[in-house]
Amino acid sequence: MIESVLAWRPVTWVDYFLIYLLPGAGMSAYFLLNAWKERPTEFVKGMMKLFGKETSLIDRLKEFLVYCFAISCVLVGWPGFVIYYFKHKKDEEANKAWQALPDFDCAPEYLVAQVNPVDAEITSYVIDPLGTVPPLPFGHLNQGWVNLLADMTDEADEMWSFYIPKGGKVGKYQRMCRSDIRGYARVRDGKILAEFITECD
Amino acid sequence: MTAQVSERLIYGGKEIPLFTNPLSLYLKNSGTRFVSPHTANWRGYVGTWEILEHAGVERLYLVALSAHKSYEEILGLSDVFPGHDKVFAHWFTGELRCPQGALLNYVHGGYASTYEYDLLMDFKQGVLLSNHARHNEAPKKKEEKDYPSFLRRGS
Repeated sequence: MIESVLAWRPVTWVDYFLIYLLPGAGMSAYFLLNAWKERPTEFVKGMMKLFGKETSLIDRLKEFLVYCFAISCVLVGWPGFVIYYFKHKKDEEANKAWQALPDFDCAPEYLVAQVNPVDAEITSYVIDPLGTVPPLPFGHLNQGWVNLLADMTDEADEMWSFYIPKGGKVGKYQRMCRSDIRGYARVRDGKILAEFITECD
Repeated sequence: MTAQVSERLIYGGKEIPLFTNPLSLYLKNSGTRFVSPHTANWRGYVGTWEILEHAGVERLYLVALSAHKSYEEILGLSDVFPGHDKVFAHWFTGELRCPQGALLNYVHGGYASTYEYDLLMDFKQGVLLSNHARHNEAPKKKEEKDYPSFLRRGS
C-alpha cells in the first residue's frame, strides 16, 4: 500500500486540488485538536446547567455550522492564514523592540542648542537663602547630571539643552505634559540617547 | 487603581492635602524607588511640604518625609537627604493643586476626585509665582442615553 501511495502522481486538476488542500487539512486538524483540548469540563457544564445556560440542541447545531465554515475557510485559504501568522509574528517582534526602547520626554523637535557641559554647570548652581541645597551643579539633582556626563564617552556625543512647552506631547505614548520641562540631552547623529530633566512638575 | 493618599502642604499655618507629587523628578534622577505599603500609596511615600518666605520670595520646601524602604522599614527626610532637615524643591516648575471644601465626586483612582475648590499655585524652579482658587462643580451624572448604544443596559 505504501508503495502504491509513493508511486501515485497527480494527473487531473482534482489531484492537484487535493494536494493543495493537504496543508489546510493539517492546520484544521491542529485547530480541532486544540478546541477539543479546551472543551468545557463536566464541572463547567454542571455550573452552566445550574445557571440555566445549558447548551441547547440549536446551540450545538450553530456551533457545528461555525466549525464547518471555519474548516472550509482554513482548507481553502490556508496560504492566507500562513501569511497572517508570519506577519503577526513580525509585528509582535517589532512591537517588542519598540517597547524595549527607552521612554524619553525629549524629542528632536524640542532640542534648543548644543551646549558645553562646563557652561551648563556654571549656570546651574542653585541659590537658596536657607542653605538647604548642596553647592553642586544642579543641587539635589546632581546625581542625574553626573550620570549623564558619565555616559558621554563617545566623541560623536553632543550635549543639547531642550525645552518642552506646557501642553507639548512627550514620550513614546505622546502624553501631554502639564508644565514646562527643561533639561539636557545626550545626542548622537540627531538621535537622543539620554536625558536629564532639570525642571518639571 | 485606588484613590491615592495625598501629599501634605503646610500653608498659612494649616496643613492641607496636596494633589501633586513634587518629589517625583528628584526620585527619577537619583534612581530612588520606594515600596508601596498598600494600594492607596503606589508611590511608597508621603511628603510634607511647606512654603517658606524669605526676603519677599516664597519657596517650596520638603520638610518631612515618610517613605517605605520596605513594608516595615520607614525612612525619614534625613535618611533620603542626609544632613538636611528641609529641602528646597528647586526642580519643581508647574502647578500645585490643593483640594479644598466638600468632596463633590469621588473617583476611585489617583487624584481624580473633585472637591468644591482647588487652590492652585504656580511655581518656577521652586519659587511661588502666583496662586488662585478654582471653583469646581460636580460633574453631571451620566444618563443611559449618554453612553454609546453597546454600553447601555438592556431594557
